[in-house]
Amino acid sequence: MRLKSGISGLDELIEGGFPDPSIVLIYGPPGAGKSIFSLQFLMFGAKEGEHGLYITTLSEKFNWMLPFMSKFRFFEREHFENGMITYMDVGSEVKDEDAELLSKMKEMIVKVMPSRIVIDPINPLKAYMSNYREFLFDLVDMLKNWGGTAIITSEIGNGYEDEMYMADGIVELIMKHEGDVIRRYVRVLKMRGTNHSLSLHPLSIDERGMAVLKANY
Amino acid sequence: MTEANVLKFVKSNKPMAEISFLLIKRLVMRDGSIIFISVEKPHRYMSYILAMHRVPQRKITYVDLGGALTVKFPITFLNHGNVRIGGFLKRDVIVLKDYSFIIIDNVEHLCHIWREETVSEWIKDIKEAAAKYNVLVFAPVRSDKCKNVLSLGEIVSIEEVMK
Repeated sequence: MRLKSGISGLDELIEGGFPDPSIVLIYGPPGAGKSIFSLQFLMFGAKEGEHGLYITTLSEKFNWMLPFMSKFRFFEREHFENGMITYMDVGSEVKDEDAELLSKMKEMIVKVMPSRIVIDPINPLKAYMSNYREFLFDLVDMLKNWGGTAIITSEIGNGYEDEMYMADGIVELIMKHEGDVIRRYVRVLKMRGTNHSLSLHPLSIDERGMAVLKANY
Repeated sequence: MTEANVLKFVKSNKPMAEISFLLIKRLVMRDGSIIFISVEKPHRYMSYILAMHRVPQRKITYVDLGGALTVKFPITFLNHGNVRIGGFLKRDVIVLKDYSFIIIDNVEHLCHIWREETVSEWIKDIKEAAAKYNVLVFAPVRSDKCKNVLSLGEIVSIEEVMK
């Protein structure tokens, strides 16, 4: 089964959408659009009648981010009001035991019963976990047991990180200096069970949200 | 009940755990005993979801297939290789006459790891045994994969079952 990403132009690169269920890592530098991608993914699902759960960790508070997000046309406040999208901030729980944090996420998933889950971002947790790789293993186990499709965002530097091994799919959001300007690109590095493009595809972010443009390099 | 109408594939695009949960919740309301056969993940996960939603589990017997390749009834719960049994047990074997429903979670996963013919044979075995004791078999599915397997039963929506 395929789950439409809600990002215009992306599904054409991945055989119609993300494999469902799956865990997809979205990574890129600050400003690359990871949170926009995540929220657009949830909003699209909510329009289709699918429940979404947005879990923020150690990042910008969601209600600080919302005034900016609400300027996008895809953003519909009623999805938060009518419970189609639930927001959970686990920032304050992060210093608890690793298992307790997972248990709180699991509790929320079972309560909300989401088809779409976002964890935004994952990598800051690394500094607080006694065994990050084990935490990721348990997180994946929990998400796989539930069976929806989860987007996990990360700011990853150069090299291969733990998050990359646990994901079924990896989408890289790139900001590239070209002369005096920075241009946005997207590349699908991995998508299990999918014949996908490995090219760089130009990406735009405007008031309509995020979209993959037709050309590729 | 005949062998022809004993098996229902319950179709929905919800996450598999949610379909199984809704199904169990509905069947518990019908006051029947349930065998929940889990082929993919340990039953403790479903048990946790049910507990969180305060669904009574007194009449649910869990069968975790794990790496086991078949389920034959009666199942002896001791010394049974990779099969793990949990939950409600009236006696030391699982006898179908004690039950009203079987749920198989999930057939699509089996189709990923077994040949479709093997899955079909396995489903036929369960269907045949269930028909003898008037037990209804439900198998949640999310897609039209394993067409040959799906042809063994009736495809119904989760909404129909929830009525």
